[in-house]
Amino acid sequence: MRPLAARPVQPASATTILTVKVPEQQLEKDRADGAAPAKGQAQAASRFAPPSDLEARVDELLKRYPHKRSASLMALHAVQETTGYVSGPAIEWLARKLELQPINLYELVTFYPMFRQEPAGRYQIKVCRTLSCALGGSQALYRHLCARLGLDPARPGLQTTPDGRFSIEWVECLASCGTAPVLMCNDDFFEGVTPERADGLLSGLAAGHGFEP
Amino acid sequence: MSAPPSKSNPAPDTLTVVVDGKPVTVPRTTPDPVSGRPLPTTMIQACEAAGVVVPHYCYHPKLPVAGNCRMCLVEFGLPALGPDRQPILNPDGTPKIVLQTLPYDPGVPRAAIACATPLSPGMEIYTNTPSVRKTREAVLESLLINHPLDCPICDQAGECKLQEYSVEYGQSESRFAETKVHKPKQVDLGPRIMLDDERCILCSRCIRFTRDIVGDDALGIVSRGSHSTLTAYPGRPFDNNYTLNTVDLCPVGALTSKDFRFQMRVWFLKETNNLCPSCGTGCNLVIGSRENRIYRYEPRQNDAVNSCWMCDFGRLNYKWIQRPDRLAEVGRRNADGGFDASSWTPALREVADKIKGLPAGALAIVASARQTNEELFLLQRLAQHRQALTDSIPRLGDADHLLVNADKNPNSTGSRLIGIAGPDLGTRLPTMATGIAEGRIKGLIVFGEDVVRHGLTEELLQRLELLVVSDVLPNATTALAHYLLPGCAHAEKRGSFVNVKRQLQRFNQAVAPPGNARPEWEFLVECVGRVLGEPLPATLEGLFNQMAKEVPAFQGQTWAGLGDLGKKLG
Amino acid sequence: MAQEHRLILKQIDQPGYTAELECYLRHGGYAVLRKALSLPPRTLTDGRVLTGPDQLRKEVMESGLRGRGGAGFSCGLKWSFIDHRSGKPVYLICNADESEPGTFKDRQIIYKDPHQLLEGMIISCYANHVHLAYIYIRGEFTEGARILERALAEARAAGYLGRDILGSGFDLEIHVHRGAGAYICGEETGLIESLEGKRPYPRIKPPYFPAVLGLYLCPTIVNNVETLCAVKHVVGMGGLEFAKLGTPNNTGTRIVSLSGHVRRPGYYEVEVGKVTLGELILDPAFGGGLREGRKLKAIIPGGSSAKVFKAGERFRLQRRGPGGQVTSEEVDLLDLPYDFDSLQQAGSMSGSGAIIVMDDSTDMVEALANIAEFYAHESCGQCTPCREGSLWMSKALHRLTHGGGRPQDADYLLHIARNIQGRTICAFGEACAWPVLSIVTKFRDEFEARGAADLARRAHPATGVEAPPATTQPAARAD
Repeated sequence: MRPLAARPVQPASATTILTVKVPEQQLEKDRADGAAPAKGQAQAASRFAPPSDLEARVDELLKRYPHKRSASLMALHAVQETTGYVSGPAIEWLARKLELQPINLYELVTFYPMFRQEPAGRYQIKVCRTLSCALGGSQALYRHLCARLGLDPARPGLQTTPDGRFSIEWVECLASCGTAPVLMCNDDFFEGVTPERADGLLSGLAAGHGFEP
Repeated sequence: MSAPPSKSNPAPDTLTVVVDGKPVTVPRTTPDPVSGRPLPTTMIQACEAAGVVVPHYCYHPKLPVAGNCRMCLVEFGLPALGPDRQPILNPDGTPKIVLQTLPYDPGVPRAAIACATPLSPGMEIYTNTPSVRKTREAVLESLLINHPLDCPICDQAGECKLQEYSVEYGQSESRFAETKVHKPKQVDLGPRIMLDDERCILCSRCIRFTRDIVGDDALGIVSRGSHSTLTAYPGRPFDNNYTLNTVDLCPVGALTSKDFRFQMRVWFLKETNNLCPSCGTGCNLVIGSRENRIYRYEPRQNDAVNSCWMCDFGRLNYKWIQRPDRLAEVGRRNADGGFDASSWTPALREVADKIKGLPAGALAIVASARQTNEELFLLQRLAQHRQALTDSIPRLGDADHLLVNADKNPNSTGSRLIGIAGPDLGTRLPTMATGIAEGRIKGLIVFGEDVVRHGLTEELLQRLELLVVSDVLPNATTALAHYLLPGCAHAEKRGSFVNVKRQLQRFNQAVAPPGNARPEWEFLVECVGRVLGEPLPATLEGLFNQMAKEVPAFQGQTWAGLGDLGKKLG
Repeated sequence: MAQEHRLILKQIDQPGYTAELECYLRHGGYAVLRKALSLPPRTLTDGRVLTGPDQLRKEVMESGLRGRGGAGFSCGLKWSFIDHRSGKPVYLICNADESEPGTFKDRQIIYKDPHQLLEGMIISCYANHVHLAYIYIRGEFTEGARILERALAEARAAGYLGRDILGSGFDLEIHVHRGAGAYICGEETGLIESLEGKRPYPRIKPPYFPAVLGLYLCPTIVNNVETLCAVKHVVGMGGLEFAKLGTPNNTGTRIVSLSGHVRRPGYYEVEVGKVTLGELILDPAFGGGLREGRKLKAIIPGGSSAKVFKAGERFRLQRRGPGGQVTSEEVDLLDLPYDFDSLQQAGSMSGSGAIIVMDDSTDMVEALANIAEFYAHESCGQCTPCREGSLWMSKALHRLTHGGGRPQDADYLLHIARNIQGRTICAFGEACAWPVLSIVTKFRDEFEARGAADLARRAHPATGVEAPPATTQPAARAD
């Protein structure tokens, strides 16, 4: 087991991004009459201090590609692995690093379900929802897990226990359809998960040690 | 493309295809709208050449192709080739055409997007078959299921592509029995743009425009699938100087101009071709007005000048026209130093007589490079007659890579060509100031400039025997005028400008001037004609055509010949 | 007697076999690469000279190998489209985004025998003059990505990657690139966009055919994991020898992922076309039959986007005999040879080789609702018909499975699916339309029964007036 703990984001030195896009207009006031567009506002300082090894990891990833932008996905994974999620300031930091606009990365973070914009629980349980697992009993498994964790199986999206230890969500096909139902807990895979095995997993995690399938 | 010329294609750089039964010959390649590099000519370009309109949302001739809306799907056939790669012929000798069908269902025509599919020789394009119409109905139905259908409160109503195509391809009742997807509404995208994501059809025109034309990669689509949402990065306003073009580009009511939204139904607007006077580029525009009030400017396509775009500054720089303090009455200074309202006829007669009373060389003229060619021409005629010193005033600012020019006068080139100004505008002003100070210059005519701010101080102006000022808004110079002649904004008259690239362009009157204000050329014809003692043309067309005879740079031009797009001067 | 023919899976699951280089070498690993790199130029009878890479491409062409990712397109033909004179670098991408529901074969290779994939990749890169290649692995294969990184490091250290591989003068670097949970990245142009760091919107074709305008607008080959492994065996045994496996036009072996209501779900490598659907499901060597007391109801034969087969269906198959003579015979669903062409003739496809079996306990409306929710979640949203239609179908099916059915819903669903099919940028349109088209058509009675029952329940007893259906959102995730 390699539990992935959500570390708090470090306080950072302020970095200011200025976007002044509207050119200064030289027209006399008499004919401009307040029609001049407002200038781009100076951005609020964006604060993100990359954890010590993150910058080096991203630099290493950049070497893999002829174009910096290609490193986006891998770098976002690196950000999430080191800080637990992908925050706005992290997006802005990475955008500068990759010579992109923050929107370019924001487009990705919101597209790919594996990226989180909020911290999740210490143990994130992802239950496969797709057909073979559904045929194999994933609905019952999900209901069982939710009941054990005190969460609502009918609620869409990611849910986290109040103590922040467990998150649960449905995910689409995890490509292990022959051993349905399956789930992932953080980076680890669990196959053929009966309610009893799910209990074992939860108790194991709750006791603070890994669960051997 | 380097295909060898064949019998059916006599010119190697063209090819012939058939659009709805009509042969059309088009270039093999068409320049890319952004890079200018040659790209294979597409079906939609051939259709356009054939005069066939293919409905579309995401395609725009000035933007890179996206191909996402699927509205322009058409059927097509290709010449059948035998085993020898030679065309198979019908009994009548025409090439046999094979309708392209779905690989998994040979009974169903395979549609291709006209916007992106390159032509090939002998291709036949069918834009109006039952299957193509069905496809359009399907795409339109898909676009509308999650659309709020809020036309009654939507600014785009009347110029909305969803509405337009619904007339032809829509159904009166929706099949959709589910709940709609809800997305952000009234999204404040930037200082001038409001976004309604529920109306957005995700055509990505705005994204491509700001990224590829402006170079400000500011917009994007977040989330995915049916929840895809157009946005700017949170906290980063979409505020470059071209944002309002996205409102024009938006085929639906998603992007609206904060300046225009909820102001006026577009079908009430009168549209008048005009020019932007905010810099030397001279972007072509359409003024939307109703009952003598201007509601908006929109760029008008002119590929020699501004493509389909204009800057936000120029677009919004119209409100001064409707300022309440506009000069609207003819003024004449009385003996007490006060100002009397006058009427045009006596004022112009007095002005003409006083000019005639000045000795030769005692008159100077400052005529703004914002005045039209016709006005500058009349003033230049006057100057020649009275041996007057003339100049215009330079107005410089920042330029950008797209449209904004550093010359903030719309007609510096015209002023130079007509002879009001020398190569460098404003260099004769010091001579003028000295002339006034030394008493050699006794009379000054000022058109459209506050000369007090340009070295002809109030003290100097007060020494003049005659100060005739025409302007549209009050300033320090108008305050000192002996005769104040209220003029017109560009939207209130007709005339022509020459832009920084020597494009001679004309514009039309959209609204009436306030009060007794009159187009400058009109009263100048009367006044200058009286000084010169010769009748001058009473119509703008006549005046322009006379100018074209007398000003060498305008040789051969006619008002009618300028058309909507103007002419490039040699 | 039908049985497995393990070529790619030969070592996998053998006791003591590990993912380490040392183990791979002990089992003859990288010998084929060594052979491929040392092929001398060969002069043909007409005087033309074939370089080593030319010969490798010829072998692959002769092998008849068809892509194992889903489309079944000829690998040799795909390679032949690459323009080596464009002056641009050629890229190769291994598509390890295994995401088609029901498919779990590439996972076995990546996790258990990564060096086999690398060997196949290195050979393929050499054959196509590729010097930079990527493995695009789905994000959820976190451990798989680590295993591949480790294998790449081992291969680099041992001289199978990097500069001057095995003294051949050939340089190659391979990197792992992780996805992050998007089915659409399995579409090759979507994958390329994703690798370029953009939203994985599939590209319009024309003009963006990967062989011409692929990664960074350079010629690019995208091959599935299993295909690249098969290349190693093609080169190892010779293209013509490989073509003797399987059946004509359906050569070699392929790994079948079997899941759903069978006793022995799992992955089985078989000669293409030598085993029938029925054998795969019922034979003790494979699925081992259905659960006790259950009868077969439906089969999805090639991943969830393939059109469904209904138990008892019969098909007319054209078969080409060894002499080229064409015979036609009617076969039962279970007698369909599991190959590319037979399934296509039967109106479906073998796709990614994933068979999902459903027995008579399955409610087909529920099953379709499950599939539709997957496609609604995975539609990238780029083009109109799929973006709007995929969620529309999912919402309708959610309504249907939550008491809001209407008698007209079967036709309603067919209408939506037909709106999508053939009108989208990529094949996802078909992928989301086909399950609906086939399941609603073949199991129409179940949809109509639901609609009628729901209508009757909602109808006011006195007037018979229909109350509005309960419109509820599907339990789709908030994203």
